[in-house]
Formats: sequence, structure tokens, C-alpha cells
Amino acid sequence: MNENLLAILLITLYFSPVFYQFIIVLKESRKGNRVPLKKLLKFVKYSFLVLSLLVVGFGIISHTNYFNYEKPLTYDKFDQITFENFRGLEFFKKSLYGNEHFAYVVTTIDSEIDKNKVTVNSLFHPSRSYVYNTYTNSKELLTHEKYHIKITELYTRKAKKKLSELNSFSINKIEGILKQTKQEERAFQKSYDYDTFHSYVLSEQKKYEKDIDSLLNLLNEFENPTITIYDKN
Amino acid sequence: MIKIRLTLLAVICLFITSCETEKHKFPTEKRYWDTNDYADVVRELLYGYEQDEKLPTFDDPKTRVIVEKLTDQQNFKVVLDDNELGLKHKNEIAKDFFNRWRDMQDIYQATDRKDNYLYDKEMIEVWQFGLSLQLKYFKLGNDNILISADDPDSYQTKNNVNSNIKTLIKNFLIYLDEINNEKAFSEQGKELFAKGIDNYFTELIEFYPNANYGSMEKKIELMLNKTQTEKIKNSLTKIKELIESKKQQEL
Repeated sequence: MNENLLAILLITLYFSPVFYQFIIVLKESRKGNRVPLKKLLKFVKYSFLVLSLLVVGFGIISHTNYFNYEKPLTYDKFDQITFENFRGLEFFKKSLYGNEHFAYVVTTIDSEIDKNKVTVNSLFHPSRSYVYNTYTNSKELLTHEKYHIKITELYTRKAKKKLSELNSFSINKIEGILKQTKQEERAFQKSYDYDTFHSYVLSEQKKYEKDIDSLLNLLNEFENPTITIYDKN
Repeated sequence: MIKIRLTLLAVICLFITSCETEKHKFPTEKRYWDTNDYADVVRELLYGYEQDEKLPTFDDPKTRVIVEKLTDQQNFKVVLDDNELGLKHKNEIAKDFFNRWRDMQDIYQATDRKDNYLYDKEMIEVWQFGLSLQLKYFKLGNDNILISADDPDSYQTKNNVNSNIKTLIKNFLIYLDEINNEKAFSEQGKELFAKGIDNYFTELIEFYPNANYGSMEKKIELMLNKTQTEKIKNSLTKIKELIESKKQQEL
């Protein structure tokens, strides 16, 4: 069945008491009876209230699956990540360009500024990441998704490198570096998906893997999440 | 009361009109079409259109993207030229693409009451998509034969490879059959057709310079006598000369 039609049917069903009340209002208004109108308004108010709560709950669960929650993982757990960690729920997207066998990861760059120290971590969010089947044996798909995590780590290290080069502790400069890094990371993630076409173009995928690995190696000294900024002036 | 009814009617009308969905759907936003996409698109183009309904064309800005995507050779090249992929896998994909292309050939065959092609440019592009695809498909097939054979130099193996090349040449000759229908083409169509000879026949001969092109030479001879189009005549002559030059080199 068409999904839009199904949604319309469900909403119609949900609001059927309101519609029923509305018909009564129409009938009774001819006789000058205003009581059903008040009842209708009450019905409408409570129907929308319950619906709003449902929508908010639904939105929260589709954003982060709290029914099967796993806290965000830092990069040191990278080797342990499998599709079993992909715990997110997906209600709207049924396929990726017609392919129902798809997955996506959600990663973020997390930072904390404290005294003269800045802690920057790349995080993988299991309960926001989705795979069509947790038990799939698709190594290529997992590799593609895990390189998204590596990209986030790469940009986290790049940010730490820039931070380590600061001559003085300046909140504005630190925030500027972090903001710019996040933007660059998103842009790189997009290029990665575009060029590899979500790993469909295997030669491009391998090229990216090689580049990302070597860049990560180059920044090995920034593996540690915390950077201390010393005043060099 | 009347106001309420009218409002209700307006809401219902609005609802019904907003429910109207797009008549034909194509995955034009997708960067590369795979064989599944081709199966769906070809089915839609072959059976989803009414008899007198206009198909997507290069001239129509609204539908141009569909036919461009349909005839985009990158769709198969991105897989078949990928050195990271296995030979058998690529062979399977090439075979699937080849089967899809065979169905594609029926899409733009319609003619008008004067026997002119309605979609000659689109038909020729579909043809050329197939010529380019076959060059890769047969190459992959032959590579597979050589790799799977116990002795790649054995008579049997060489025979299988040569037989494949012969089939490929025979398939290319079908393109030249269209010269018999050249009156059905527009001037632009004839030009595009001639370019197809220049590009793909040259590629074929350069790729298999030692193959037996006897049947092609004969066909070219016949078509040179038949064609009234200067550009096609020139293209055929160039191919004839190329075959000749390869023979000389062999000697």
C-alpha cells in the first residue's frame, strides 16, 4: 500500500471521533445548540495534544534509539565495531537509491575546553547509526561505514594538530578551529560518499581507504584526545 | 452553514489534487544506474507509456535527463573498468547490462506514417551504448576464457576466443544494417550515426587488429554503394582503409 495513503488513513482513523463530533456540531447548530461545539473543541484540543506527544516520542526514537541504547564510542574502540553496534531505527528511509541493503553511521566531533587543556574526541553513535540487518555479513558495507568513522577521527586529529600550534590559549581561536574542522569533516564525508557512490565504485573506495589510512598514520602523534596549550609569548 | 460546506468541499478538493502522483518515475538523481535500475527504467519506457505518449528525448528539457542517464556509458564503465573488482563479478555485470541493452533497443523504434524514425537520435545513442558495452563485455568474456583455461595457448581456447570476436564483429555489422533505413533518419541522426562508425568501429579494429574483418569489408562495400549520405560514406571509407592498413601491418 502507498505509504502516504496509509498515513492519511491512520490520521483519519485517529481523528474519527473529532469528525464524528464535527457532524454533530453541524446538525445541532441548526437548532441553535452550542454545547456540541464546546465538546468538539475539547476533542480537538486533546487529540492534538496526544498526537503531539506521539510525534515528539516518535521523533526522539527515530533520532536515537533509546529502546536499544549504547553510549557513543570513542575511536579507541574502532576495532571492536561491527554491525551489531548499529542500533538505530529508521522509519522513513526504506532504501538508498533503490537499494534496500543500506546502512549509515552517525559520527560527531566532541570537544571540551578546560583551563589550558582542550579534549577533542571523535565519537561513533551506535544508537543513531542504522543498518538494514544487524547480522549482515557484508564486509564491504561495513568497511565503507567504518571509514566514515575514520574520517571523523582524521579531522579530530587535524583539529588537535592546529590547536597544538596555537601560541596562546584563546577560546575564540579554539572554537574557530573546531568549527572550521567540523565543516571540513562534513564536506569530506560528502565527497567520500559521492566519489565512492556509497562504495559502489570499489576502486574509488580503495583509493579513499589508502589515503585516509596514510593521513591517519601521519597524525599518529595526535591520537591522544587531550591537547595542552602553553602560552608561548 | 453554506460557508462551512464550501470550506469542507474546498479542503476535500485540495486533498484529492495533492494526492496526484508523478506519472513516470526515474531515478535521475542517482549518480550511476545499475542493472536493476535499467530493468525498472526499461520496463517503464517500454510498457509504462501510452501508445501515442511522447517518450523522453534529448530535445525536451524536461525529459532530457532521463535519456541522457539511460545512454550514459559511465553507468557500465564504472563497474567494468574497475580494477578492484573481480573478473567473474564484472563478467556477470556485463552480461546483465548486455541483456538490459537488448531490451533497450525496442524503446525508440517507432516510426511515423512516412516511415521516418520518431526518435532517431535517441535510438542511435542507445545503439552506441550497446556498441561500447559489447567491446567491454566480449573482452571480459575472453579474459575469463583465458584465465579459466588449463592451457591458454591451446587450439580449443584460441578457437573459443576467436569465435567470440567473430560474434562481436557480426553484432557490429547489425549497426551497419541501419544504413538500409537511412531515409528514416533526420540529418542530425545521419551525422550521429556516422560518428558511431568513426568511434566504435575504429575502437573495435584497434582492439582486435588481427581479427578477420572479411565480412565487414564485404558489408562496407555494399553499403558504400547504397548510402546517399556523404558523411556515412566518409566514415565507411575510413573504416575500410583502417582494415586495409591493419592487414598491411600484419604482412
